[in-house]
Amino acid sequence: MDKISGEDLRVRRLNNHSNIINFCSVNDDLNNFLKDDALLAQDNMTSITYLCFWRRVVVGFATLVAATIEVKQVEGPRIDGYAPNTYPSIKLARLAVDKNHTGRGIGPHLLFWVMGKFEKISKEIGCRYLTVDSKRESMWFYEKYDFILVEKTRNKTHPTFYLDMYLTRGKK
Amino acid sequence: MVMAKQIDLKLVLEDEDARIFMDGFNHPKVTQKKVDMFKKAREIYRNNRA
Ligand SMILES: CC(C)(COP(=O)(O)OP(=O)(O)OC[C@H]1O[C@@H](n2cnc3c(N)ncnc32)[C@H](O)[C@@H]1OP(=O)(O)O)[C@@H](O)C(=O)NCCC(=O)NCCS
Repeated sequence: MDKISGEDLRVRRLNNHSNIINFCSVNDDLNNFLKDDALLAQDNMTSITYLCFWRRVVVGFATLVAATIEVKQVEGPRIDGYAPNTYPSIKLARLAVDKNHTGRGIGPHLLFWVMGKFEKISKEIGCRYLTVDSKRESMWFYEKYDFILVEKTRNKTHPTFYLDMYLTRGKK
Repeated sequence: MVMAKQIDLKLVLEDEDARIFMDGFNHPKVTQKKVDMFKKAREIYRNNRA
């Protein structure tokens, strides 16, 4: 299927009236999350979900939460510049595209939208990294956009990636 | 209260991962690809404030 122009895609926050019933990605966990948990989590203020619409139909979604990266001091040579610390991040907790519309640019559109949202938030609340626990079959997607793989998680069911958003500072 | 499925909010970096992270934190790399990505991100977000 053809790529969809970004101008024809709309991103809106999930709400009580969102028609998500027909959304179906290849991953049942993600579908179940959207249908059963997303709104409740939003009410509980534990995650916020954004829907991507094409011709008024939900074709993708992304869920965001505040998160943190902890760097542990380790045995061996001292890490240059190390200070025991945690670093603020935003986690892309869920990302899915409807299986009838994969390969049409919706995943990248949502990911870029999330980066734009990140930039806005990071001007008001300190946060520097965008993190994600990938599906094994989707690692290529995050590698394509220069996310850094956490090597220790490479062989896990959900390998973890992070993207340093530092460049967003001052680059209007 | 019914809770949404668990999302692990804490990423712990150790050993080589910690080293790579700290190096990136202290000496962030400015690549043209990243600059272009963030520019595109800004445009997309600007047209879709949600
Ligand atoms: C991963 C996902 C978000 C990507 O979204 P998408 O909208 O399909 O992404 P794109 O439109 O960029 O399409 C995929 C592109 O990558 C290419 N591609 C597909 N599989 C690939 C692979 N294994 N390796 C490299 N490239 C691949 C496609 O050919 C296409 O390339 P093109 O832009 O040159 O045509 C989507 O497929 C999805 O929802 N998957 C199921 C859920 C999931 O895995 N979520 C992410 C982890 S939480």
